[in-house]
Amino acid sequence: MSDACHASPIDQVIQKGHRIQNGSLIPSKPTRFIHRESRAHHIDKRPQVETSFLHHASDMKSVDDVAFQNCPSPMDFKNHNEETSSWVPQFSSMEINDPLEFSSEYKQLYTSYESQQRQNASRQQFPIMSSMVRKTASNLPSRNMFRQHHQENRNNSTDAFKFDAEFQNLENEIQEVRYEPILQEDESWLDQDQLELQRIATDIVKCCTPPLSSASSTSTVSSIDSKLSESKFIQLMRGISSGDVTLKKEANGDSTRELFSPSNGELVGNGHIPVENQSHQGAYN
Amino acid sequence: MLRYHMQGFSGYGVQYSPFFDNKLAVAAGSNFGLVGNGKLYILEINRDGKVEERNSFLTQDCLFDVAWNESHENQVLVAQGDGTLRLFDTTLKEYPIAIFKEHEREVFSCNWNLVNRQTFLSSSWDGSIKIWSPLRNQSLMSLTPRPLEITKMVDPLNAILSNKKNFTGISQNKNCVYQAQFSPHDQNLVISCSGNSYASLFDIRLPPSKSQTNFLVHSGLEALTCDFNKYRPYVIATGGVDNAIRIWDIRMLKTSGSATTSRPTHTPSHNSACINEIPNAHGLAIRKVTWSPHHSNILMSASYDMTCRVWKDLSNDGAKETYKTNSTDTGKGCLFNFTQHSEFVFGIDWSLWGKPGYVASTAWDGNLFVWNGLGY
Repeated sequence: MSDACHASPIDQVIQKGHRIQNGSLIPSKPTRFIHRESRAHHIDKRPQVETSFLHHASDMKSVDDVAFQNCPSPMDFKNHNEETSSWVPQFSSMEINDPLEFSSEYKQLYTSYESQQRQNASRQQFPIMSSMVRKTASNLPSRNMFRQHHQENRNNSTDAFKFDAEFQNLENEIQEVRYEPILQEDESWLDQDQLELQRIATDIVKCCTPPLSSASSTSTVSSIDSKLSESKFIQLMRGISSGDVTLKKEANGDSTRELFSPSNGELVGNGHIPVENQSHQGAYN
Repeated sequence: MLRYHMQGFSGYGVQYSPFFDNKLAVAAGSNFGLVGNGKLYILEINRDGKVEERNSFLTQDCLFDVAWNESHENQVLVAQGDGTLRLFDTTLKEYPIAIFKEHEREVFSCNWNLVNRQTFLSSSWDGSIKIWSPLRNQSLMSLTPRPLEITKMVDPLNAILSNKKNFTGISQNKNCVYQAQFSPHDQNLVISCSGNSYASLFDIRLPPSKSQTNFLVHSGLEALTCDFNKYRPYVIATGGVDNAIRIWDIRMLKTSGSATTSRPTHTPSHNSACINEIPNAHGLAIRKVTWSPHHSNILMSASYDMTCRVWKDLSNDGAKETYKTNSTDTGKGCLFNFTQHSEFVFGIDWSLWGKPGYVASTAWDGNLFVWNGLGY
């Protein structure tokens, strides 16, 4: 009886260029495999490593083909055919000598460079965030007006109202998820604008808190970290983040241009002095 | 080094007077400019080397930038957080002499035309640049440097970036035009940089549909600052949230067809105009870059890392191109590192007077420092 008759049917399928992935047979790369196989028959010069490795797997003629065969499918069939799977331990212990491989010192340096880059990348957003704080704080009156206008429009159309109600529900759900980690019981009275400011401040504080790995980074980074840790702006952001400081609100719900401490009602930072919006008439010439 | 402290205010912008060698204007805001008043300081350096306040103007909202009137020695323009521009006469008290209100959001920068000296411009968070005459309350022209197609092309990038932990950047601020400037060589050229990471070059003589060329300058992250070189009319520098300073040759910008309208592409070729780069010029985002008025290859930067740095553009030796870049230099071409500020540095300006190298810087720590950036 020929060897072909002893081989399992599944093995035969695999040899025809199929592989198993996620439990199903996929006819992947058959052309490449067959082409390489047939080409290998005409090439007698083989690298030493391949020769020593391939003495148990005569069907495979090059390291590339071995790599191809190392897809999950042969592993699944080791119980069915011991002959076929006996090369697996050898394969796993094989070391490939790549003359173009970078030195271990270079790899180590590159790893530290990459970690530094990741650290820098995580810092890149906070300047933007500081602008966002301004955005949140300075546009409160207009946003309130927008909301009022929106409320009026809702009364005009039932459909629009339904849509708005749905939208508001979704919005609330999202807000709940977003603020859950930082909300405490005594902060639940904060309104939307104050919560938004708190969220942004939290993001800024997160960005500016040096990671544990920064001890091993460059002196420039540690210098920035030490300056950031002493920064009054960051301290203010910490205060807002923890709920100790927030925007002051007027009785009618509009925000003033001041910050205060909700715990004792004291003003934080500079108070606002109203300035009349007028000019020296006719002074320009 | 000279110092002046603005009690209770954070410095945002500073400019030397073009008429007096000892006069400075500083734009500031209280509570780090987040909420509260703004204040314009008119400062003088006296004969004893002390910086003194000559006049000041309290404003209703924070001030983000300042520009002296190039044709009047006593007039200073400020960009305010309530969307207005205000022109003050430094010999008067309290109120401005003119108010220009068209912007819908914060005005982040203002700049006086150095060539015709009769116009000034403003850039705002509302995504527009407006050109004004001090003689009119309405703007002369409104430019929008962010055509819709740019946003569409940046958005996918933002989607990728937004998957990164904590990244909430570009989608929030992409409309914001952080800075705009007239060319010091041509009264009709304007450069601007935006939160969508693009710089836009305008020729205001052309009709709106053909007047602008847009190019991606900071890899999808916000472009916060830009400046024309004072000696090489075709060279600009930009800085942004990627911590890099890039130098561009606007002659090499790709334009589509015969018109100067640019439809931005995301092919690498459109970056061929970048002739030099200082990667990681600072530890954090770069807030301001400004070329020296005395040297064609020296520029200064201010950053959120609380430092100011003076750089030599190694791609040019002052007379010709060297075909080198700062990224290959050991010290990246850094000539001076000023570390005295203890908060984010927002405003810097070179003195036009005396020995080249004197600069003024202001930061959120409320300090104004005058120092020599070239170490002479």
